[in-house]
Amino acid sequence: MSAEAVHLEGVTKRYGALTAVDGLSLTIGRGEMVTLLGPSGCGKTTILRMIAGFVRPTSGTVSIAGTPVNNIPPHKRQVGLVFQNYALFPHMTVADNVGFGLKMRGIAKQAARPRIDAALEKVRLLERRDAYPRQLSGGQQQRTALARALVIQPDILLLDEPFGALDRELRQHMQSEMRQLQRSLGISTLLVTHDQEEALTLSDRIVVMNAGKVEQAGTPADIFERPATAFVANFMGRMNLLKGRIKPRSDSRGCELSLDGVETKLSMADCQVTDEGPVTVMFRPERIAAVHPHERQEAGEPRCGTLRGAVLDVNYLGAWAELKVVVSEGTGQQFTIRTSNRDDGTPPFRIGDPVDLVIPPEATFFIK
Amino acid sequence: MRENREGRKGAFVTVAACTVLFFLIVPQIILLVQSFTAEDYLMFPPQAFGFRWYAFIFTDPEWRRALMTSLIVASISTPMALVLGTLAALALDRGPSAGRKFLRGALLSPMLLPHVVLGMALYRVLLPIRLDDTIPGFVGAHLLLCVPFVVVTVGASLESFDRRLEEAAQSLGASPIAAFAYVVLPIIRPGILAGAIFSFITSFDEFIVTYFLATRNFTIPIKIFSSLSYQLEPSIAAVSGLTLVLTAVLSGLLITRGGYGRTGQA
Repeated sequence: MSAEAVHLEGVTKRYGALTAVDGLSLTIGRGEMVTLLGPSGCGKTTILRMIAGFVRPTSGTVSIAGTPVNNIPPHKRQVGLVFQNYALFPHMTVADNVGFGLKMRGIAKQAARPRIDAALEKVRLLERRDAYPRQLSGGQQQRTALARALVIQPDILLLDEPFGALDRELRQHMQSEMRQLQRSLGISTLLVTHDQEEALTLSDRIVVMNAGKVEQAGTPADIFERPATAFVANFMGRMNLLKGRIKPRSDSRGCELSLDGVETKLSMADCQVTDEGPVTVMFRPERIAAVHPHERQEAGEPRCGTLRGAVLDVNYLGAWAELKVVVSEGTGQQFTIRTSNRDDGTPPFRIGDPVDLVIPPEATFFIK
Repeated sequence: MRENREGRKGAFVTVAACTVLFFLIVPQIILLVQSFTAEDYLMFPPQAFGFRWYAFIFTDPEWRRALMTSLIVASISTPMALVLGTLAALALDRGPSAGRKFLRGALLSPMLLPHVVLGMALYRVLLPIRLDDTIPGFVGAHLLLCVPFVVVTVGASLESFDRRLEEAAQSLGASPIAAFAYVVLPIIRPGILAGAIFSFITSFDEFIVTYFLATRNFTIPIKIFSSLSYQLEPSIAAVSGLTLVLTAVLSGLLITRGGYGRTGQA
């Protein structure tokens, strides 16, 4: 038995002049939950369909459980598939939907029944076994689709945006259920989604895709905290991207970032740079502290890593407020930051207020 | 003021609709009533009622023969049209897109072409190969007229069919043929049923094209027509009544059962 559930080696898919997937390699380990994350049209669904067998790669090899499957049709692969609309058979009961894969494998009704019931038990849907899909709620339909895919004990479970059709509360509930089930069964899973929050919650590993290629692969924390490219940084959440320069510090402890046209220098302890050069500097909105200038004066001398600006816009977001700040110095670069609202629920700043942005070194990173 | 105007408009539409329906339906109702006469002549209203002429058409050898011919032809051409039409609809739905429009147009053309021209053309083709005036010849001609209905009705079902259902079936281990049999076929069944009903009615009711081909072997519509030229016997009304009832029952079936199972997701 191979340690890999699925392995893609240099897989490319072209549709005429369009390259949907471009020389992509990817491994899903046994029991691992991997998410393909990216905007629509980035090729993630094409990859899922190549693993399922509905799309033939133009070049490269797809292997499932250590066996190359390029020439094996979908129905001879051991793949469980859950679609966004669940694709339940409308003319069959829940039990018949779940039992379909067993029936196609020539398993007799009596032998199939306990397996169907066990699968329905797992998704807590046993009491609905004789209902038709149209009589089920969205969450129940999804659980049926999941049970149907699991009952055949697939080598790999493929989830194509499975939570997209659910409302927010149910989606979060189903996500945590899915994660528990996936862990307890130890089933290798590939999730395709464009929802970064979903990817962060569910995955052991995230593969961020853009234009048919992998932008970055890593743990959710890696992807979120240390994006390797501006695309990943942007995709994972609102990011402040500013142009700047980097140079090693004179005391050779880390380096110094300067933003174009701004006097303030930001020091970064945790970086190894030897040459000076232009970079894209990134800050997470929620890691920057916004303070009123007069409060700062009480606190003492100005610290390193502070930018002075004015509030351009305030967006109320419930517990938070999002401020758009224009930096006073230089070319007027703009920041978006998040700050907690006051105890009475009002944002701490109003449009036009002066503001100091305190940027801690750990909130700062850069891409060359 | 405005409500008043809308009300008047509604009243006008109602009157117009009722008038049209009246002219469409009343002659048929009169014929149906006449068919239950017990007299020797057609008259309205009949003096006495009975099933005399219905009994007659089932016992008279000529009427029986025509009825049998019509039933045999419709019963053969309907399943054949279903198979051919469904296959054609599948090809149009899933085949290569090049030439699809042309192919579809060609398949549906018998619906639009003047039936006189079609009948003439078929006569010229079937005569030399001695298929005129035969049941196979009638079946062939009726197929031409029935297949387009199946292409349209099954095509509509396929268009709304979610291909992901088929993919789901395949991912669960169904071969393409098994996926078609267990998933596609049951879901497009309303379209197939509609095609079957249209085909049967079309074949049973067909006059023009068959008239070109028939010399002694009569179908019901031709027998009605030829009987008319001699005398106006109440048997004609009885046969018409029978055809009317059969068609109405099949249409009713289409309306009440046609939508069954069409909705996929709730």
